[in-house]
Amino acid sequence: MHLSMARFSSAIACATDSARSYWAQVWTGSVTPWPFAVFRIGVASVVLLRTTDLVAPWISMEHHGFVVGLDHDSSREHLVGPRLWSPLWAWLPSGFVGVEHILAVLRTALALLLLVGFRPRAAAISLGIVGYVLMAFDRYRYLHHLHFLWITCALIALTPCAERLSVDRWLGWTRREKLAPRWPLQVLRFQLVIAYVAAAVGKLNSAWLDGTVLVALEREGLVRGWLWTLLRDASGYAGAAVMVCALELLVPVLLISKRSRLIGIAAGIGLHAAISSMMVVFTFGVQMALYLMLFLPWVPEGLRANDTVAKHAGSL
Amino acid sequence: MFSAPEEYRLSIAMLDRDGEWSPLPSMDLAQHMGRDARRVIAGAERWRFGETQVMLLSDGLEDLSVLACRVRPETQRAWVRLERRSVDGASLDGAVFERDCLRD
Repeated sequence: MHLSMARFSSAIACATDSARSYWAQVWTGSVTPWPFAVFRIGVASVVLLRTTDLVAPWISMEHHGFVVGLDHDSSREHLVGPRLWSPLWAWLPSGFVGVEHILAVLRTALALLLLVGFRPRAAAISLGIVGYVLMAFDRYRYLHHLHFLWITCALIALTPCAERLSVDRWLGWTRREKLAPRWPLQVLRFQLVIAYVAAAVGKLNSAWLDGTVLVALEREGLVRGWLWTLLRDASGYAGAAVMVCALELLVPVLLISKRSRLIGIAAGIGLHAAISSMMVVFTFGVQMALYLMLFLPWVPEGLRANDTVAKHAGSL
Repeated sequence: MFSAPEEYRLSIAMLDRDGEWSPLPSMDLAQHMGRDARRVIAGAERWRFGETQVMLLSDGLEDLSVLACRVRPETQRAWVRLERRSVDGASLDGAVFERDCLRD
């Protein structure tokens, strides 16, 4: 009895040590700075595209139907007083049209600074705060993909995103390092994994799984298109619902394992391409694709793929 | 996103100085709201489809009652009710807020 208890304790201690060692490995190590630069430029571009109508004369995007000039700039809405004041957080001070205009201009300027890499970490955290506050001035502005976008901007402030393709680098304010710390990459990867798991867990209810929700979404015209028709006819409402939920659970599992990562990226891209073709999700698909890009095996410059550092660079 | 949508309906009524209740159409408030609030509130006397906006609206009834009082300053009270039901028709917990307009 005493012997088996000792063995059990020893096994627990061993497992704990292994878990601790794995956890330490997840956060330590180095990667090439390239993914941070690509992610910074991609997210800044998404912010500029989503919060303005800059490209409307040439490219049609879903938000161009309601965004004129700068999004959330109520100075262009010609409201009649008294105005409804309903902030997302009760402690926010009363919003003024002039303040919203200034913040909307500031948000655009910060996105431009982030895009070109001028003090990008400061620009990223400021952009996250200004973007979120501007959204929170009116509770009805809240949309999941915007919430996710502003959180992402704030997270970019944690990354060494100025070391490539930046004005800071060009001006010599940042050294061209071969390696960057790996933990910021892992933080961003975890953010994506959490987003998938949360989306899937939210669908683990009978109304979703038996197809009732998809029937209602179709009735409201919120899912449509040839791909939806094909999917619905092939698998039925319940089948399509289960498939979406299963994919949202499967993609993070595939991404976590280094061996299946490329399949996970392909599955994720396919999932978002399909969702974007069937529903109005604005820039959400592109945002997720940028996160998926972070799971590519970013091998540090000057290292071969089978070097130890390079191997670590690719694992979650 | 879109994992647990539901339907909602909004009713606003005002009590005038003679003690008579009368409905206030949400469209009468539309010009006082931003674009996004209009999308959620205007025309919501009829059952509407939504998800996150239902939660946002549920927590914003008090603010809506403030606006109703200001738009109709001659009234005594504002009453705002949010009804909710699931996509298969089952009734869900709604919310009601009543405000004394004379207090403001």
